[in-house]
Amino acid sequence: MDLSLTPGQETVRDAARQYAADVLAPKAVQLDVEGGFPLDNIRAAAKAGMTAINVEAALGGRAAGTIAYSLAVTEMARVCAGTTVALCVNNMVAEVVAHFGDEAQRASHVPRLADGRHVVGAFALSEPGAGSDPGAMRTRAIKTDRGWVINGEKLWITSGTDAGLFIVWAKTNDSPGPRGISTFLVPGDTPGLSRGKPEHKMGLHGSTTTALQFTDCEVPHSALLGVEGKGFGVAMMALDGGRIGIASQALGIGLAAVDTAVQWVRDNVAAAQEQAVLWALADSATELDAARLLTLRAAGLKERGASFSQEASHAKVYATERAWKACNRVLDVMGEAGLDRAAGVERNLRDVRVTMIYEGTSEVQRIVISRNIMRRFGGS
Amino acid sequence: MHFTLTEDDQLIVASVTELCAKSMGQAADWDDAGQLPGSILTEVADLGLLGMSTPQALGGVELSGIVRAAVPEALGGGDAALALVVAGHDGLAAAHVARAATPAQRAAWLGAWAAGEPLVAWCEPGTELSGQMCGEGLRVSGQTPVTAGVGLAGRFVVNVPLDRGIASALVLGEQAGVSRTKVDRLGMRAAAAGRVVFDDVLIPLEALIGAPGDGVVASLMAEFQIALGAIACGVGRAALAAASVYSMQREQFGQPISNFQAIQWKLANAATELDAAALLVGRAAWMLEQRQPFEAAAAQAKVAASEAAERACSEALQIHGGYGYTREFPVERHLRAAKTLSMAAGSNRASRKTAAAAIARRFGGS
Repeated sequence: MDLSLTPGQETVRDAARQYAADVLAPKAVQLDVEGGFPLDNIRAAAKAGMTAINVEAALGGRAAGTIAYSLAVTEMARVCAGTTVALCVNNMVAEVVAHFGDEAQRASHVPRLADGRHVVGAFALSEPGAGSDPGAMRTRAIKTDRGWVINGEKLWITSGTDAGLFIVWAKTNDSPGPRGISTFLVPGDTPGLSRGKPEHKMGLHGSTTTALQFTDCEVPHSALLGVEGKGFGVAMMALDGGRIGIASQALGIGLAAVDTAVQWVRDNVAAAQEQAVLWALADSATELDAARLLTLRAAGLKERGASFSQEASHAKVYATERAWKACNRVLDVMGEAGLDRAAGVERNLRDVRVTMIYEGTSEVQRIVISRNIMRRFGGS
Repeated sequence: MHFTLTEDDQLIVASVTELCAKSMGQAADWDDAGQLPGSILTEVADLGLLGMSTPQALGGVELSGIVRAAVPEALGGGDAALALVVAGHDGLAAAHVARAATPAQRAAWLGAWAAGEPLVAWCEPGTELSGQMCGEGLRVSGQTPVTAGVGLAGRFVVNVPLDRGIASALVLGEQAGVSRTKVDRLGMRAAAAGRVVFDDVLIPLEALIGAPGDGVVASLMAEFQIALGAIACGVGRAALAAASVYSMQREQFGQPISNFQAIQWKLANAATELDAAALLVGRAAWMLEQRQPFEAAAAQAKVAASEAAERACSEALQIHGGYGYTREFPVERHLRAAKTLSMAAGSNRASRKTAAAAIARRFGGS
């Protein structure tokens, strides 16, 4: 076991920190108040090398590995969680296309996801009636001589307002449940694809979330990603990796709240003498450290090509719930001062809440984990 | 021992619940706007909720302490911001005047206040406010702590720490040298919280309420803990109800999610914690009514209720999934309100200190 970082990993982490300080920090509060897609931040992220961190260099990526990716996400989320989730999804989409795409798809799309020509990528799996249960999806793709015709509705699509490329899942035959789902690459300007209005969310205002409507949306045969009917596996593999990203994001938000609390306690002599205050910081620091280790363990397994699904779920459920807890403790410590939007920690609290929901709710993570445990001990 | 309200009190609570069902569908918009509409304040005034602490002879409805704790719960289930503003106006400002002011002041102010004309915000004493008594009155500089209703009120009751105790006074919003700031808070945004700022303001003698050191401010703040606990119970129960309904409608994996044990236990735990909290609130209100020392019980009730509400609201949001994170559903608003209640009127840290001190006294400490 070696818990030290390589020089390469440190370089990526420091670059993310620099990007966050220079680009994200000056606009984070304004973005929360005004909301909207952070186009300037995303453009700068491409220049800073934050859009395809774990993608091979030949396709325009940084080839820095999953651990470096996790470290970068945490540093960025520490400053602006909204921009960070758009970047997390872009990194995930780039990895998925690089992994499952044929040579033409890889060459056509991954460099554009890395350098910003696609603006960002988006991941269109959820539907109004299919959240935790993607097998219940109703979006259909019908094969024709010219390609595929997609009809249906998607929901909760991060960056839905501005994304230049969508990975879209649709049923391609009548098999029940998750069988018979296929994956498609749909450019944002494809006729028949329309984007809904941004959702009015509790937090994460620096990221847009929309519905998508597909009405006789036609894509060529070459838009099929991977094997027809095997799309569910693509989604699950993508989400396993995505969960490392969200765990890293939640960790960053929790750390931001604790950073603010520490500064506040330093400035408040009376609070600094209260055991309840200091121990709240101690508990948060302990739990966030454990979250970091769980997250980096999953990242390390993924980076080595080992199986990491259960470990990613451990990381996600623990990091997101403990980060939520840490933000709550910080507000408890700061009291009225923490309620004020200007202090930043109420934004952390609003932002972090969704990490327990998207890319697999805490409940889904517990299903994954318990199934894995039961299987290991001889269950079926 | 029994756990029900009198029939009269039940009617009052039912009328509040009806008002919530009828008039609070727009609460999310009020939250967005950061302001309660005047129309809803008129409606609560018409129900008598702005005069619960005011004697009938002076135009109020003068309710018992028990039902005065039940009303904020019912109101809090509709809109916590409104419940908080009402509690500040009635349970703090009007109660303060009813208890400590001169007969002339009471006659001049309370009748109009019971009609909500104007709305009054009551500001806790804080360290950023300083004052000095002089021949013509009380000279004040500085700013009050963040207070609910400051952006809505036409009058303020301010409490200024002096060497010999807290001096209280009624301040007109339009008086020269008096201004207000707005604070953009996590929750209950429609309560328009803010600070009242004083630039060397002379408050005339006839506006002073009671005498410094009369102890009324401390009692009012202790009683207010009961109201805050009651509002929190209402918020938590509203979230629980929303989540319960949603869980029976939402289907995943071919069945309503209410079939899943994980969902059932979230609801069961929330209901248990909220019931316990509501009983603590009721006990504190009963002890106050019995003229027993109630301060520790009130503090315990506020801590238990606000934290039970936080957990219930967070689980309710979780049960709603992505929908719960949007403002299309009420639970994220309830969650922000619950967290804000934990911080309000001295955070739960302050309430725990009160409870701990009372326990120490009971077991022989000083």
